[in-house]
Amino acid sequence: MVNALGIVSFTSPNIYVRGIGKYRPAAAFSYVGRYRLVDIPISNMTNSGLQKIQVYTNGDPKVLFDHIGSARHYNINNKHGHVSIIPVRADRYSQDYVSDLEAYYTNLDEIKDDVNEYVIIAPVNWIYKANFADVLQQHIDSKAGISVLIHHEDNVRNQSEYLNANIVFRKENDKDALERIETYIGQPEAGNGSKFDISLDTYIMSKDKFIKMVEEGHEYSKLYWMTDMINHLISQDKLSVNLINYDHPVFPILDLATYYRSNMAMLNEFNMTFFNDPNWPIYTRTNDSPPTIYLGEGSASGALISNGCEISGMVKGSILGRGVKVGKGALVDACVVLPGAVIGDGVYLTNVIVDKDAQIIRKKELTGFDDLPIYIDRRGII
Amino acid sequence: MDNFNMLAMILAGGRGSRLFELTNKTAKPAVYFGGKYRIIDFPLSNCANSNINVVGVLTQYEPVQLNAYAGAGQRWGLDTRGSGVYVLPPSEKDGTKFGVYQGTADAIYQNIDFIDEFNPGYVLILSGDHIYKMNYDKMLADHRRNDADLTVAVRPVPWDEAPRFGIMNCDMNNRILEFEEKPKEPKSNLASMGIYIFDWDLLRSILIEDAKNPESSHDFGNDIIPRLLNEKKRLFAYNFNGYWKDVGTIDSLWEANMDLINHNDELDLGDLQWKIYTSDIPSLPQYVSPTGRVEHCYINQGAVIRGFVKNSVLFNNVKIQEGATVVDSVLMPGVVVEEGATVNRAIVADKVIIGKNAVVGSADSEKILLVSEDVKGEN
Repeated sequence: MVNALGIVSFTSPNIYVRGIGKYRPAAAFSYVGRYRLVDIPISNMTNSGLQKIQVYTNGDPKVLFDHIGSARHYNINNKHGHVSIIPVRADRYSQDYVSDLEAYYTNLDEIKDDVNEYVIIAPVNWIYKANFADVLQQHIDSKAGISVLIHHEDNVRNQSEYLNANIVFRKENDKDALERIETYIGQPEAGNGSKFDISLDTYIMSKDKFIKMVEEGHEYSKLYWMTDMINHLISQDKLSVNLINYDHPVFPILDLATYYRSNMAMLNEFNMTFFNDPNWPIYTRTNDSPPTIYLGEGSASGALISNGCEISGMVKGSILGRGVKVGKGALVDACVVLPGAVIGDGVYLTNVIVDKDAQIIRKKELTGFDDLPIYIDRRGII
Repeated sequence: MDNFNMLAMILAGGRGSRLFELTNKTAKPAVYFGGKYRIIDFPLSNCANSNINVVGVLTQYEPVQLNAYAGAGQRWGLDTRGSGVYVLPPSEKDGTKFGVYQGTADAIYQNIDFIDEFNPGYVLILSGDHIYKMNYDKMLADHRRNDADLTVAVRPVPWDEAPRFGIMNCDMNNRILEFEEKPKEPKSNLASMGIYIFDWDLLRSILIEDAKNPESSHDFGNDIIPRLLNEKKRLFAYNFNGYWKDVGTIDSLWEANMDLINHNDELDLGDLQWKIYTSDIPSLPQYVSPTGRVEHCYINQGAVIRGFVKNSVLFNNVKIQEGATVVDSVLMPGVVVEEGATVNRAIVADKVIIGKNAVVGSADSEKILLVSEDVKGEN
C-alpha cells in the first residue's frame, strides 16, 4: 500500500484531438485497440499499490462510468480500495472553462476525508509506465513542496510533436530549479534538434499542500489551472519544486497527429515489449469478445489486432480495435481503426483514423498523410 | 429462492482419460478450448445467460485448477447477491465414511444439504465437458408446460452412431416411453445429452431411496431414469438442434477447435446475445510482425506471430518465431514455437516450447498428435 491518493486529471481545452475529441473526453479515447487512455494512469496507480483513486473528467462521463464501473478489473480490492469518477460541474459557465483546480475544489471535502497523506496526480494524455511508489519516495527524500515528473528530450525531431505540451523552464542561475511551466506553442527558435524538458503533468505533493493550493487557487482566480498556480507560487518564492526525470519512452496525446503517432508507436517492438510487461499489466474492461478470425485471403503484417475482428482482407502496419471487419480484397495500411468499424470489400485505406462503428463501404480509396491522417467520423457511412 | 427458480449442478468430476496428458494435472472441464476458453466456460456461461443464479460444480479428479477457476464466479457474472458458483468436492459427513462420488446420482445425493439451502423448485443437472450453447430457461419452460417430472435434453445423432449413445424412444408429444443405453438396434436416433431438469422434491426423495439400494450403481442413466420410467413418471424429451460436441478425445477436441475457423461455424462465439464468458487476461492485442503471415486462423489477444500460421487456433500469449511454420494445429496458452520449427496437425499443451528447427507432427498423419512436453531444438 502506498500512502497516497491517486488523482487522474483531465486535459485543458488546448488539448484537442479533432474528431475523436468531439465524442468523448480524452480519458475515454481508444488506445492501441483495446484500451482507453484512462486505463494507463489507473493501471500505473494500482500496479504501484495505490488503492484510492479519483478520476476527474470533463465532457460526457457516460462512457467512463461504463468503462470503469466497479473498477475491479484494475486489480483493486474493492473493499479497502475504490475508484470514483468525478464529472466536472459547471453551474455558471461553459464546462471547458472549469479548471482542474476548480474541479478539485468542488470535491474538496471528500479529498480532506481521505486518510492518505500524499496525492499523486497523473494525466490521461501522457502514456508512460511509472512506479509511483518510487516516485513518491523520491519526492519525500527531496523535501520539496511539490515534485513534477518531467521527460528530457535531447534531440527533438520535429517541434510539432510537442505543440501544446507543457514545457519546463529552469532558472538561469540554478539549473535544478524550476522557473516556470509554459505551454509550448511553437517558438520559431526551437527548431528541429532542440532540447526540451517536457512536463508529464504529473505532480506529487502532500495532501495538506494540495488542499492549500486548491483553496488559494480558488480565491485567486477561478480560471487558474494547476500549472498557473505552480508558476504563481514560484514567482512569489512560496514553492520549492523538485523535478524528477523519467527517462523511459513517453507518448503524448496532444492533437490528432500525436494521437495517431502515439498509437502507431506501439507497433515498434521495443515500445511493445516495454509496455507489455507481465509484471506491470495495463488493465482494461473485458468485452468478452471471441478471438479474431482470419478468413479466405485475410492476413496481417506488422499489426496489432484486438479480439472479435473478422479479417478477410490485408491489414498492414495498423492497429485494429475490437470487432472490426475487414472485407475481401480490402487493404488497411497504416491506419488506426476504432472498435466496431467496417472496412468494406475492396476498400483501400492508407493513413486513416476510422472512428467507432464507422462504415467505409462506398468510397473505395482514402489516402491521408503520415503526419496528417484522414479522420472518419463515428458511425459515419463513407 | 422462489419455487420457480432452478439451481444448476455441473458434474465436473470426470478425468477424461482419453485426453491423455492434457488431463494429467487437471480435470477435463478445465481443459482449454477455442483460443481463450476452458470447456467449463460453456455450461457456466449458459447458466449465466439462462438467468440461473446458483451453480454447484461437483469436482473430484485433480480438482486444484478447476476449483480455483470455477470458484471465481465473477468471471461469468455469477457473484451478485443471491448468486454464486460453489465448488463441491466430496466431503466427510457425519455418520458416513469419507468417500468419493460413487456415480452421477451419488454426487448429487451427497450434496442434498447444499441444494436444500437454496430450496429450489427445479434442479438442472449438467455435464462439465461438452461444447454447446443452450438456453436452459427455455428447457425449463418446456418442462413446466409438460408438467413433467423429468425433462431430458436430446439431440438427433446419425443413425449408424446411435448404438454408441443412450437413446430415448418417445411418443408424438415427446413423452419418453423407453430409454435404451447403447442399443444394438436403435428405434430412435435421439440421444441423451446428459442434461436433466428434475423437480427437486421428487429427485430428492428418489436419491435418498437410491442411496439405500446396494444393487444400484447410483447413476442417472443406469438407475434413476429406468426407475422413473418403471414408476410411470412423466418423462419428456427436449429437442436440441444446435452445435454440440463432446470433446472427449484428442481428435474430437482438435475438430471442435477447427470448427471455429469455419466461417459458417454453427457455434458462433461472436453472438452478442449469447456471449461465452471466461477469465480476463491483461495483454496487448495480438501482434503479427512484418515477417509474420496468417491464413485462415482463430487467434486470441496476446499472441505474437513472427512466422507463418495456417488453419490453426492460437491461445493467448502463444509465440511463433521467425521462420517457424504452424499448420492445422491448436496451440494452447503460452506455447512458444522457436525459429525454424514446424508444427503440423498437433495439439500443443500450454507452456510447451518447440525448440529451434524441430519438426512436430506430420501433414500426412491420420491422427492428431498431442505434444505435452517441450521439444528440443536442433541447431
